[in-house]
Amino acid sequence: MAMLLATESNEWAYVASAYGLVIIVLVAYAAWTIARGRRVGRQLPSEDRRWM
Amino acid sequence: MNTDTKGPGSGAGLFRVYPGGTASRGSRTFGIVLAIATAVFLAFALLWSPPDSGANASENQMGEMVRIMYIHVPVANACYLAFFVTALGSVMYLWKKTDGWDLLAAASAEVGVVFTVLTLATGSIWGHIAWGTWWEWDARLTSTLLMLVVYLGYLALRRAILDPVVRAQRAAIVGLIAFANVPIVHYSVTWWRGLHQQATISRFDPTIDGLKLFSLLFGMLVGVGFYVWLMMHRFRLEYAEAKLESKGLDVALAERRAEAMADTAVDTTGGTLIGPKGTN
Repeated sequence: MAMLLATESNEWAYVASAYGLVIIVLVAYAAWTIARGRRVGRQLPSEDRRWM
Repeated sequence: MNTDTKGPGSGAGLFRVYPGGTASRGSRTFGIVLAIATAVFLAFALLWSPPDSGANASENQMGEMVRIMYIHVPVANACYLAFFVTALGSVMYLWKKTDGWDLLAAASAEVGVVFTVLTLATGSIWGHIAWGTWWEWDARLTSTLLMLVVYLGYLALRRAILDPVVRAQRAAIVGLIAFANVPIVHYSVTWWRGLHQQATISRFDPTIDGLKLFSLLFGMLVGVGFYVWLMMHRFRLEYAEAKLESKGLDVALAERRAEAMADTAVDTTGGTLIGPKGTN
């Protein structure tokens, strides 16, 4: 029983690592892209930002 | 050169709208829907779907590890989609010679590289507990790594060439050739025997069912949603950078013309008409 619980908690550690990694990387990439967009977009006149 | 005379933005907190950014009403609304869908997906994937008991003959008794598949397959699916869009943008650029297609291809390649890194990383985590190794030179893993290297090369090529037209043409050719590896990655598990399992759902008799199948399909939908949302921002950033680059080139050309005009002007000090430097 104790061995089964240990195996299960070990599996959950791997599952949490996979989900955590994906969430952290996607959020970091999105934040980086948005920050770059703000920096570059501010240098353009509003008529060149047609999505606004 | 800051031409934006508006204030720092409207709204508050996370929903603050920066007038100079890549966000729009559409991207923000889609982002909120995506955040809710992600929360629901996480609940299905981590809480509501059962562990794999191996009760069905087709199941492999993966236990809790089956949950990694709900996130590994969607990120892999998103990278295929991203590279397909890069190939589409490349073909359309070579055909139409329209800058927008080149920008779409470039933006999608970068997003695709991020998803490919996540595909390899989540696959590696899976492999460590399922196969007992972080990496194996299996056909699927090797071809995926090759795909990552090729698209990193595509992005490096874009940074190496300064002329926008030459860059777009060469990148379109590379973007098209690079896509040839994508079907090889997908069918590698069928063509060569290796550690990686065969396709789970891309056939008429999926090897999982019920909540597990729903979690996987919902995860794939969320993955595509993330790709679309990231592309909204990444394409606008690529567009803004291209606009700035073209303005920079215009300024440089105007300065060069002004210098040439000054050189050909009358030398008032000597009273003689002189040509461009070194011609008189």
